[in-house]
Amino acid sequence: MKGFAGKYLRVDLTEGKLGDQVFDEATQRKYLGGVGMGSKILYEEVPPDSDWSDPANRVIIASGPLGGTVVGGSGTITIVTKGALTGGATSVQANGLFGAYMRFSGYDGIIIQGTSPEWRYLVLREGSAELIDAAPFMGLDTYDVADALRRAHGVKGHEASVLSIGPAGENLVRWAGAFVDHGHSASHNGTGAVLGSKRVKAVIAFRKGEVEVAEPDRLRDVSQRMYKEVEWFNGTIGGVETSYKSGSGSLPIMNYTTNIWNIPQEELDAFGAEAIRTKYQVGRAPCWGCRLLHSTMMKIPDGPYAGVVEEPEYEQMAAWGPVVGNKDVEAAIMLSGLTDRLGFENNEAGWLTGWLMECYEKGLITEEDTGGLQLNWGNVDAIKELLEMVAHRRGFGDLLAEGVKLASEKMGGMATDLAIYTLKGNSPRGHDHRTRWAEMFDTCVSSTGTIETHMSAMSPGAQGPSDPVKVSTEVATTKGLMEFEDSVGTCRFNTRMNASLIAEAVSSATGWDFTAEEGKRVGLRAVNLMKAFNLRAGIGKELDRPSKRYGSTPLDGPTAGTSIVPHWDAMLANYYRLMGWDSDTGVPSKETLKELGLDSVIPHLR
Amino acid sequence: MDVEVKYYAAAREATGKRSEVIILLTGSTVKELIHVLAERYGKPLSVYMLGEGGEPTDYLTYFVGGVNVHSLRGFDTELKNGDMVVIAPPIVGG
Repeated sequence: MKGFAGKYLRVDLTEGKLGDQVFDEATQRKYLGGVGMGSKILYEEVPPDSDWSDPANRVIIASGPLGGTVVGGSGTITIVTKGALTGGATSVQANGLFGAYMRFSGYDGIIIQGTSPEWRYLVLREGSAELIDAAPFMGLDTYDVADALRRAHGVKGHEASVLSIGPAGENLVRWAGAFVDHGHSASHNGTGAVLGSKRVKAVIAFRKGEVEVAEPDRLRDVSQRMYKEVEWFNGTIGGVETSYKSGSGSLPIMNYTTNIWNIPQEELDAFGAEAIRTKYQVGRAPCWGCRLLHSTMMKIPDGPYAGVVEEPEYEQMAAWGPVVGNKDVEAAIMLSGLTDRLGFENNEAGWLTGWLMECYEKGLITEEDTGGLQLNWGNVDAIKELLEMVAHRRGFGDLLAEGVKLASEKMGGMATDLAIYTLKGNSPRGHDHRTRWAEMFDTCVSSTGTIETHMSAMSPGAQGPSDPVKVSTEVATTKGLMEFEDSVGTCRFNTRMNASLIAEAVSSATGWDFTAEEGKRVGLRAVNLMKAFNLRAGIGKELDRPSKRYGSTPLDGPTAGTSIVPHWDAMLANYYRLMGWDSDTGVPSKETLKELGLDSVIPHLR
Repeated sequence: MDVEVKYYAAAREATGKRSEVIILLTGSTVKELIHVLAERYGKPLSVYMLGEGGEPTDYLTYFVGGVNVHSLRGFDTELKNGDMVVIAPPIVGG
């Protein structure tokens, strides 16, 4: 079958067995790969009432029919699992090289089940796989273990790609993530914790091999047209500066306590993309097939934050800049790198730290609670030490390793009201969503542990804060596009949910006559499978909501006084109805499931 | 003066063009360019560029010389003869 490596690797860690699983063409076409295939396997194989750390949980790491081709950014993988923060489905993506090399090694994906008695890492090479003792690599951070594994296998540079967990994942921090090479994060909802519970430290895949496509010239032409649509993109690292200067109110500041950032002009300018690239960029580290200026290496040459970091994303800079009250751009860059190295999901890291700092500033916690850490706003040294404490579950860090929702609930009192999270247990991305209603609403109703649609696909005014009907309508009507893209193995910055071009690329790769409509159905299938999985796990309508602080009313800034909360129930009913779900309960209807070819799910939801 | 405007995504669909040269008065700003384009192409384009009060919004992303306008002087950024202005889709985060 052209466009596919032809098999998934099935890894049974309990038995210590590896085997190949082949899916027939009809199944490949129905689910493609990535979250499509991952959600099918999750739904069919993981008992909904199991714990995230149960051996019965699966970790599915999948590319798709475009993985490792000439399409820009086609080294992306999707990880699907039952996540550690929500106890529900997870779908997260990491860019880089791993997805391409996994396909070159002969595998469209990996399905990991069971629990290994000892720590292992997995090797994929030239059509076969091996589990190897990971003892020599334990304790290494994600940058170091990737380098160490390459050295151990006698390869350099980009001859191999590594997916790994850091100390946070090893210690089952609930918000630990999984990282590809240096800094490509697939981390929402505790993917690293799940891998840690299975005692999988890393997976290494080698560059040798290729994927055969049906119409290589046509695919080359499509990929060039895709590139011409996105050639303007030059990364997100400058987003803190541009977001604040735009006056939109969407820069998150000091745990949502304000929309006014008291930062001197010069220090704000230093957060700009040009300023950062000019001063710190030392090289490029592009993902597979990508020609965009995005993944670079940055070096802070001297001073307290000296070091080399893979280019942080906007959300990392937002977390370690304004969310925690830090105005030093070098500190933000350093903390972004440290977060990745220790193996944490950076959104949760920022919200947890911002919450703690607000609690500390308000006297709700003291140095006695924090083990001596002075968690005043902007205390970078304290943040560094805090991250190490959490990664190793030392002292106060053990509570914080449970994530901001559980930690704030345990702490109780006023502290509970200050934390930013969804009632499912995951935290939002790095904006002030009180001005981006669409993203707050989607984050709360999503079944994936993060967003489930994308504001860039919505029309003007649908992002909010304004028309709640328009917002909830477009969150529903754009569903499935992201999941289609996340089923084919490409980077969103490269393919930008352009369903027509992606479908044309899939046709070129596979030889099918694949349409955008068919692609959106693949996406909606994944959305409905994850929704059904979550419902069976007890995650229902009552959890499709923000925490008190997350859904709070801004006190200042351009959207002061506006609140989404009064509209929430009506938005939910509208959204559920448009999704083809019961407008009162959110349960997918029989008709919706039949239409998507998910008849087998119907009896489970009666 | 002449500025080259390159369109992507919604702006490209609304104008039917990948790029064009726009003639502006010397010293025109990005805001003035936006108003020129909104008037030229009407609602199909202006819906993406202007808010209810007729002021430019951040739905689209604007670059001058490869730099986001909000790293310059925002919509008050003054254009020069020969500048390249890119009108791109929203950058939502990452």
